[in-house]
Amino acid sequence: MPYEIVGHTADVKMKVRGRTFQELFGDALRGMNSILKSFIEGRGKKTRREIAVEAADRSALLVDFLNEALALSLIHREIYTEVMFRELSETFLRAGLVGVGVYEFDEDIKAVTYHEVEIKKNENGEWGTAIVFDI
Amino acid sequence: MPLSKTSLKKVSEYIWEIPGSYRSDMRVPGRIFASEKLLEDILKDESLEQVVNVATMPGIEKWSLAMPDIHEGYGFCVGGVAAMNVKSGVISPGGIGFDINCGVRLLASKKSYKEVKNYLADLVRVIYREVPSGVGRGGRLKLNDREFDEVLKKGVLRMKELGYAEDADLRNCESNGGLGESDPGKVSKVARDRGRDQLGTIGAGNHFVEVQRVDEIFDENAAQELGLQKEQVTVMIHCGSRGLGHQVATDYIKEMLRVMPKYGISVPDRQLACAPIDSPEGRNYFAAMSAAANFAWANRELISWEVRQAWQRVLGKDGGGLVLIYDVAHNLAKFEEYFGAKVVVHRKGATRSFPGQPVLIPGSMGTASYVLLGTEQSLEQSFGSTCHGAGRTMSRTRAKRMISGSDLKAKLEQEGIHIAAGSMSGLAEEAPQAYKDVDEVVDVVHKVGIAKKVLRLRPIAVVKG
Repeated sequence: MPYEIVGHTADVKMKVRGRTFQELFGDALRGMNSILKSFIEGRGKKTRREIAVEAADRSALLVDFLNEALALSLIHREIYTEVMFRELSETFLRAGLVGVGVYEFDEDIKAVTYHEVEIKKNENGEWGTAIVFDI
Repeated sequence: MPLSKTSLKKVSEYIWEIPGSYRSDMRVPGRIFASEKLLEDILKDESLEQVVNVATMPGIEKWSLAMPDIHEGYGFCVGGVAAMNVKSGVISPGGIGFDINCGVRLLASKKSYKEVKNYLADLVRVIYREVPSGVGRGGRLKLNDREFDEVLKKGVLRMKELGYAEDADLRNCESNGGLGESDPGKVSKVARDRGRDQLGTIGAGNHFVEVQRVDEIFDENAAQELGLQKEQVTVMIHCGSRGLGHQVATDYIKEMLRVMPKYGISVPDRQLACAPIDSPEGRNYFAAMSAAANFAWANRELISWEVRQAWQRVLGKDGGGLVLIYDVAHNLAKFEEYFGAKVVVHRKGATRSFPGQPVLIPGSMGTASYVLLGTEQSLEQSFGSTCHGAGRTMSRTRAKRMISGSDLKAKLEQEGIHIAAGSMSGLAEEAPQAYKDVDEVVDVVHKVGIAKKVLRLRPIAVVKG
């Protein structure tokens, strides 16, 4: 699995990795979705949303991207099963999200925190980080 | 690596200090209120390192404090208190938490346990129906932008104007259920959209509506003054500002990360992002936080109305009303004054404990909750603060792996506790085994003197998302 949920006393911590920087972002979104909803029943037509995020560095960019997707998920009751990165640098991204509607979520993620996020490349050339979600 | 016991100095039986020399960037020492037994648990995670990190923040006065229910958070620990000087200090949204003004309120009925016992099965079912819970279930009020702003500006007062609150509800809330510093204009559209349909809903996680009975009284006079007696039935509500507050925190942590370099501030953990109290960003956050706090008070007020409806439906006219004993926040920042200095006290998972003020401490599901009174000593020892609950010891993932929600429900029902919950796995996450012993936590604050025990409440029905 490109992501793994590990223990954290109060909240939920996830370890995520990707072969490329872009894959890491996509996997992190899928990992967050798996916490929000383990089974997606689907409701209505697929929706498309466009987002643009700017941050000081790549770690903050990942957190801000996930927070943006989280807010959209909770407001519109959607899970974004596809993401198309139109632009992705260390400090800026523009992406299209494709969402399916859900009736309810399994878990109430309050926010994605910056707490342990530090995106690094490992010895195999894979990108990875830990992320703590406030539940 | 978690900090070890050898790094701590024992000040007294229940007070431990992390000396200011422990790390070169500490501006003040850390101070922990805990018994030996609780300290063992506390030392297992990173919470004390987090106490040290908070001790490095600009303008922190006297100590970085940890209550006995402390556990690891992100940036700030949960159960932490820090007072920042208004002139030289910072305000940090992470020091209040994502669930701004998460808090507890206690309503008292006129009935005894014996009189209510046979209605409990119905009561739990009707409360579950009346009070929307879970993630994604909207509330009964659909407010337009102007009406929404009124709620953010006035909190409980607006609920009173709309006919959802009783006169005494305003008097019996911390800050009368509203912070005057609120400016709805500082709350983003995204935050509004997240909270728009959530007034009167409890959500999920550790939030609940619980029917309880007064099980033991420790201070007869104080209990009598509060209007509570043995075997009386009460209702406790625990929840906060829902998605609106979560998004306000998210928005301002991001903003403060962006502006910290401008003010020459660096912090050991990004989640401690902050800005000077006396800066546009600091003032904007305080105004938005106050709006979210008012939303939380309005939320608990509307839930109270829903519970009152359920109570009347099940018990009829003879059931009497439900009177608000008190409503107190445990995630909030306030302007206060200590040792001659004006400060912003950050309480994250900590309760204000002013002399004579009721302090409400919810236990974990199925265990006791407590009513205490604030003390003069809390002003001298803990910036007018005390603990807020049991505090987790086990991760949610581990709790779900180890405990079956349906077994837990059956066990609690055998003990005479009626349960209505939207999710069995959510129930497992909140199992009593995943929390510290609330009796031990409350004993510590009582013995240290930062709040005094008045009475204990036992759950008889629990409604959860």
